[in-house]
Amino acid sequence: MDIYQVIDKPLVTEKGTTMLSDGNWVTFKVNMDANKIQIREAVQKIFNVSVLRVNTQIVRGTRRRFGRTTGHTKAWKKAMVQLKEGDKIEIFEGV
Amino acid sequence: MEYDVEELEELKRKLNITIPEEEVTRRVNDAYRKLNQEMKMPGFRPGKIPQKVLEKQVPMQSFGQLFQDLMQEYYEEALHKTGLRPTGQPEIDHTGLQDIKKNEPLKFSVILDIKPELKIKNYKGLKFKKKEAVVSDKEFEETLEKVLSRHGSLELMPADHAAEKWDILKIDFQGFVEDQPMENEKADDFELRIGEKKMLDGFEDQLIGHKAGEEFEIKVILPPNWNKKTQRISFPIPGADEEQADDRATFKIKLKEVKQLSLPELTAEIAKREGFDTVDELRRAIKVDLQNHKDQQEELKIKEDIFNRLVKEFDTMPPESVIEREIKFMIEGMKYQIAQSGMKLEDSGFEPEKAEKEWREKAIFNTKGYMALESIAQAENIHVTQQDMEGEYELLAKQTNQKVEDIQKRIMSNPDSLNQTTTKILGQKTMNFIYSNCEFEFYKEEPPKE
Repeated sequence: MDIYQVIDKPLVTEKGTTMLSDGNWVTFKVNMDANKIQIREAVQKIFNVSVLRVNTQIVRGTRRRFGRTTGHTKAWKKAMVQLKEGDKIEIFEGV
Repeated sequence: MEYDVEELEELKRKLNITIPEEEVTRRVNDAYRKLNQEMKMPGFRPGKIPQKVLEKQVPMQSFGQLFQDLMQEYYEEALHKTGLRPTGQPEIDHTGLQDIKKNEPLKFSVILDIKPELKIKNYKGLKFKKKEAVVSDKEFEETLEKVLSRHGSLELMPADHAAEKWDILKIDFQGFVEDQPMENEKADDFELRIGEKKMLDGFEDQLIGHKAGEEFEIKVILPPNWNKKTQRISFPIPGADEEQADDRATFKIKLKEVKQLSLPELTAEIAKREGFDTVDELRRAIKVDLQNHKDQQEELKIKEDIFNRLVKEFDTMPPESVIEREIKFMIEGMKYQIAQSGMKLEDSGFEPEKAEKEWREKAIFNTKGYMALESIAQAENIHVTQQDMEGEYELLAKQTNQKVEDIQKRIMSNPDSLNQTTTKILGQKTMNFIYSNCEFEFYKEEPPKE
C-alpha cells in the first residue's frame, strides 16, 4: 500500500488535544486495511518525525435512521500515534 | 499605568499611554473565554475548546472593539490623572494595534485639543454703568394711546381733507422698477396708518397732503436686498452686500379714503375691557410693563458688553476643531431656518462654502466667548441640570410651535447639537452668574431730546 493511501485525515478533537499535551499523541483517521506497521512508516515519512507507538481502534458505524429505513454509518479505523518527545506535527499545533 | 504628556502646540497635547502587560493579557483571556461559549467547532463541545486552538482560529487582531474600549478606558484615566480637559474629538493613534501581542504592554498615543487654562481672573465684580430705566411720560402716553386705539372708532373724513400724520388711509398701489411692475409690490384696498413706518422709508411721508380720490406717483429708494427672499431670515446672508445699487421704485397710488382715529377718554369701562378693575390699575400695569421691558433691554445690553469683554480678555486662539464645529453649527442652524421658512435651499441664495469663509471671524469670536464662559463655569462649579435642559426644550418648543418631544428627539439624536445646547445653557447660567456679580454704577437716563 502506498503511504499516501494509509492516512486519510488528521483528527482534531477535544480528547485528541488532551492526548497531545499529555503524551505527545496525535490521532488520524486511517485506511481500514492499513496495519500498525504501515501507519508507522507513513507518519514517519510524511511528517518527518519518529514514532514510538501506534495504537489502532476500529470505530464501529453508528446506527442511523432515516424515516422508516434504518442503516448505519461506515466503520472506520482510528490510529493514535505517539511521537518522540520534542517531535511535532504542525497541523496539530492549534489547528 | 504609565503615561507622559508631550506639548505639541499651545492647546494641543500628545498623550503617550502604556497599558501594562497583565491588563492586556487579562482582557484578552476574558475575551477568548467569552468567545469560547459562543463558538461551535466540530470535535469540541461548546465552551471546551482549548484556548491555544481558539487563538489560532481567531486572531487577536479581530478583537477591535475590545482594544478600543481598553484604550478609551485608559485614555480617560490618564485624563483624570493629568487633569487635562479635552475639547473636540481626540485623535487616537491606532497603529500599535497591528502588531499587538498578548504578553506585551500596549502602547498608544492620543492627540487632543485641550481647554485653555482659566486666564480670566477678574470676572467677579465687573464694573458697568447701568442705565436706570425711567419710563418717560411721552413713552407712557404713546403706549396708552395704543391701548386706547383698540377701543377707538374710525371716522371717515370729508373729501377735501388732506391726509395728515396718524391718519388711516385706504389705497391701491402698484410699484414699478424701470417701468417694470414689481412682484409682491401691489395691493388693492390697502390700509395703512401714516407714521407707523410699516412701509418702505419715505413711502408714508409722501402721502401726506393728498386728498381722497387723488391718483399720483411717488418715488421711493428701495432698501438693499429688497428683492431677495432671504429677508425673512435673521442671519446676515454672506455676500448680501454685493452688487446692490440704489434702486428707485415708482409707486402709482390711488388714494381712496382718509380716515381718522378718534381716541376715547380713558374710562373705567375701558380699563375693565382690558381686564383691570380701575383706571389707575391699568395705568400702573402699563408703567410696570414698560419698566420691565426697559430693564430687560438694559440687561441684555450689559450682558453683551460682558461677552465682548470676556472675548477681549481671552487672547488664546481656540483649537481648530472647535472653530470648525461652531461654523458647522452656524451653517446647520441657517439651513434649518431656511427650511423652516418654507424655502428651498437653492432658492435662498445661501452658499455654505461662502459662509464658511465669511463666518469664520464670527465663529472664532463666539468660540472664544463660549470657552471663556466655560472656564468660568468650571471655576464656579456651575453645571447644567436635567431641569435646565427640560426648560430649554420647552422654550424652543414654544418659539418654534413644535411639540416638546419632537424638539427633544431632534436635539438628542445629534450629539453635536446636544453638545451645543448644553454649552448654550451653561453659557447662559454663567452669564447670569457674572451679571449678578457685577457692580453697577447707576445713572439716570437722559430724557430723549426732541
